[in-house]
Amino acid sequence: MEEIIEVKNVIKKFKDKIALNGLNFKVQKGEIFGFLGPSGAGKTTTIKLLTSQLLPSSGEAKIFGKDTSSLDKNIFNKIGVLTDTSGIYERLSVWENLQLFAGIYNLSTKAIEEVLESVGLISDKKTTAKKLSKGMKQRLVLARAVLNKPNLLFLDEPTSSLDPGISNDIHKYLRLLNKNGTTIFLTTHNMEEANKLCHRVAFLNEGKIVELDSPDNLKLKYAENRIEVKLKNTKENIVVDNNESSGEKIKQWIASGNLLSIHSKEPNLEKIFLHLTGREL
Amino acid sequence: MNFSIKRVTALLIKELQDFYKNPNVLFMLIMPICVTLLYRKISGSHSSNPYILSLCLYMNFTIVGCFVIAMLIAEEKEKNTLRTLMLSPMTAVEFVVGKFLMSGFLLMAINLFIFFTLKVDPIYILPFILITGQSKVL
Repeated sequence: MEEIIEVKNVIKKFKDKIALNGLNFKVQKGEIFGFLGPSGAGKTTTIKLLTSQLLPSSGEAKIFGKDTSSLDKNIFNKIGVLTDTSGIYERLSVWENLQLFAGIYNLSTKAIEEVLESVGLISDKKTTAKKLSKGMKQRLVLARAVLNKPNLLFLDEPTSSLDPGISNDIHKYLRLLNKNGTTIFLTTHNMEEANKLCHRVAFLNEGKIVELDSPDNLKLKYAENRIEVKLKNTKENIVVDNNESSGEKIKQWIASGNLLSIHSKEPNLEKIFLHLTGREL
Repeated sequence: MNFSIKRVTALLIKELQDFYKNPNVLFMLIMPICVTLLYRKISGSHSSNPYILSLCLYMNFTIVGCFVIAMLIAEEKEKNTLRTLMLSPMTAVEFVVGKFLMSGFLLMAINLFIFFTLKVDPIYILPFILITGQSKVL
């Protein structure tokens, strides 16, 4: 597998404050990589390092096999970035906003139409950006980030403060992009989003990665190995250990027709996160 | 060093679509125009006097030539669009050249307005364009 992002022992200090403390990870081609952490954990700093907006104090960060401290400007043809501070030209229309970037990336107007179609802004293409709602603005920023059909897409909290309907649309679109070969680096503090979208997630806490695996593996790893059952004649759920004797019990409940529901007790990502960091999201 | 005329043109087109919607820029453009009209009214038939002409040109040069370009760049920084541009293949040189051409274009348009409003003899139009255009580059 080809590695698109490679980060080795990266330390980033802002004066006395250590933002990243020995960061190590790799992102494979074709992956949706989730970068989770509480506010101030260093998520945005990592994106800034990878897009050469900041330089690491020590260690090395590579994208497409090239060191980010000496990136060629042409590499930005292959990268799309969406950050929470991404600005748009408010006095220009949606179309004119994208026209500028189509010019920069040397794309035809057809590319603009396609991307507007897929984010659902085609009917608003003449609307002034200032008059768009927050969700539409976010979709415009996303449209701009994916206009050049990037191989690597950085998303910094793409759906924070959006309603679930729009978030869902954006998730669908991201999955489609990923299917077409875009590697996505996603930071978020929305655990549900990470669970739904990401192939692998990394938990970041105080500048270090504390856990890195696929959401399913993590859930199994931190599972309590217990089973929760609901019976007809009891009000509260019964929790039993996952072993042979409880197997017998469950068998009897099923045979007698007493069993209403049965669940294995697995923590969600949120619980795992709290367990790992001992800190609220 | 890769310098792409296409990217500069794209930026220039955006500036042209944007400047007439920007009240700050419009206000700065109106100032030298108003002052020129005022001088023409005061001086009457002596309006092509070199003293008055240079006064208006200097004002235009300071406001439109120097201040507007600074304003355009500062606005990109303020609204976070500069960061977005820097994360695209556009280089810093292309960005500055695009902004420079835009303010140069506005400067020349108002210079010509001054030239005709102050009724300078039209035979001087060519040297006038050359000299005032050169002042922008310097």
